Amino acid sequence: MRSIRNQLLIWLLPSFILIAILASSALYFSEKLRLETNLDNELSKLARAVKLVHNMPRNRLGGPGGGRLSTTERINFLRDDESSEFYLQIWDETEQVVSKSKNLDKEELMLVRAQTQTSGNKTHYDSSFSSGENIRLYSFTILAGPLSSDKYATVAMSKSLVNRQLHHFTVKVIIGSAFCCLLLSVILIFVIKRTLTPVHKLAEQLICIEAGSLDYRLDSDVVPAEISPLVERLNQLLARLAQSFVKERQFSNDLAHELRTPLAAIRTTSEVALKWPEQSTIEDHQYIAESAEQLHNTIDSLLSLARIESAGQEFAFECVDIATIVTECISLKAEQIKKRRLRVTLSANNPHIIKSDPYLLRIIISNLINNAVEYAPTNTEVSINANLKDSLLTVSNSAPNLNDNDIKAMFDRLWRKDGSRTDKTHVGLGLSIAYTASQALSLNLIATLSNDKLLHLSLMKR
Amino acid sequence: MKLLLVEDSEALRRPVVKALKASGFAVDSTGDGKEGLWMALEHDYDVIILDIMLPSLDGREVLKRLREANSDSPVLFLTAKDSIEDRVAGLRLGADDYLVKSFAIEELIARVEALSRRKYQIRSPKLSVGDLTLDRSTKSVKRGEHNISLSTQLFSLLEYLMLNKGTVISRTQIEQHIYDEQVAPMSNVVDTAVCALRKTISVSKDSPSLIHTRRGMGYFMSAENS
Repeated sequence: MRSIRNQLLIWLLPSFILIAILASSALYFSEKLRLETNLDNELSKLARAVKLVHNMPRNRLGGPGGGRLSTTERINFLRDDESSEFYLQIWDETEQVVSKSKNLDKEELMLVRAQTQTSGNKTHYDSSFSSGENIRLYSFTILAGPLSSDKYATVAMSKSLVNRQLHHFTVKVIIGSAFCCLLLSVILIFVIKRTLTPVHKLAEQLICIEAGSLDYRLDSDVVPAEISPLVERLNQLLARLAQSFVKERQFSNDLAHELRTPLAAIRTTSEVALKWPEQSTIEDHQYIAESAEQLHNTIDSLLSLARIESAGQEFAFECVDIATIVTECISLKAEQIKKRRLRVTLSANNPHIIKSDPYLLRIIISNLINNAVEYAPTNTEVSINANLKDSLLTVSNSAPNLNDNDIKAMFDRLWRKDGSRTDKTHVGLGLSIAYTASQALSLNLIATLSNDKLLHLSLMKR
Repeated sequence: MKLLLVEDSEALRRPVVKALKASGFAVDSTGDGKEGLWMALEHDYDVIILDIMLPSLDGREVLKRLREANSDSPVLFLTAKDSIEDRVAGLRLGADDYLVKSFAIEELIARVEALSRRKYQIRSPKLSVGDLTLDRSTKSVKRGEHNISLSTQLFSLLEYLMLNKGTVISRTQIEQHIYDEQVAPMSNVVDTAVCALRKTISVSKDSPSLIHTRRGMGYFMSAENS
């Protein structure tokens, strides 16, 4: 499983190591440059001293016995720092060695004359003795003046000290870099752990959320801004989930009532008739029949709903005349319309052809008309309009007892305005079936309640 | 024992009332929550059987208002709601028992009997005054070694008097506990019933009278002569 901590470590640790290598290299080369520059400066000073010694009469050097000093001793006399050993070799114009310092023994220094220099201003060179000792050398011309010829000289100094210092510095840099990498890694792990703490806490909170605690909300104020949107989304998800659970619970409660009450009536009536036969009457049989019919209607409606829900896209689309279906549905309810003294007005072209599944469309329209005829107050008008611009069909009726909350819930399965569910003739699945069927046909069924308490159920194209 | 049944399904209410009456209970019934609350507050029922989903006033609200009015009548919720949450919520509201539909009528009757015993704080189903014993579980009455056969109404009257042994019970109280609304008796019906009961439980000429009259006040049962 991919972990943020591992990802950060995988990316940041090599980055730290790379940065440490680059920084160490930069430090190494700058230190090397500094040490070589110091050595070059030493060589330049030495060269000045050599020039001075050669152009100066022997007895000019102060101190007792100054005239008896060798060239090296005289040069050392002029130098501030006599501790560092140097090598000196002088050539005449014909490049014959005129003199060289004793410490050179059999070794020869390289003469690089100014006119042979090829690399611009470069006057200092690296070289080495046959013993393997690295040296740094500097060649220059000793101008003798008009009376004698010029000489060429090369001074050199050992690089051993510089190399040693550079080696020590390198070791220190490597140890420092490794320590920095280690320290940064520890800090990184600590920072990642601290940074991810809110994520862990969030995960722990989410683990604790169960079906019974869906009203719990995650606190978005205590989490970092980066995961705050995630927390808000999770809270929205929890709210929707809680709402679904409430709806499911309401549905199961309603279903339990719809199924268990008639079942209990049948069972109790039968048990009483068996135990106290003298108490049994013909009315009891009638109640058993009514309860059985109620159960049958409920189960039938639930099965219809389940079939529509599971039908998928297996529908036969063909040209259907809405006006014909509406007329047939109205005629099926004619007796009830008459009994309840309802005025039904139909506004539709004849024929009014649309492309749809005739079976499902009939289910939708019959449920909408049944709903209006059943629940519209007596002596009111039920209006059915198929000529509206925005909808395929709109059924309107007066609904003085409904409110906005009822409109939101009226397509829920088993929803009834009567919370006690006493009425045995209705199950509360008609509009739910119509809604599901309209969804299956890619249509929208929308309920609206106007200010004058008119309920409009509109079947619309998406 | 007098019971109130509040259940909106007539198809269920009718057989339950029949069964309870056949078991010797006086039963008042209604299908409306508000009416049920009014009846419960007006009468002292031994047990109230209450549905939850009721028209005009929810069963839980009926129970809440009953408890707020300090009514201590045992309440049994008879409902289709079977989730643990619903049961817990119902019992926490003050219900004494909870029975889910559908149920065996015998179980309902047994639970009602248990609740009525709890009301009178009696653990055993047997009641006794002197040598007279009434077994509420088998609905049988014995005086000494003699088995006594009683009609449902006389059994209820004797049970009520024995439950309140030593306490004077007025005619009105007897009317309220033994007779339901439909069989509202005239006052002399109580006297006639008490007289008939006295005769029935007097198995011999030597049997001491166990039902005594407090003139102008009512009746009480005791093994000692008043």
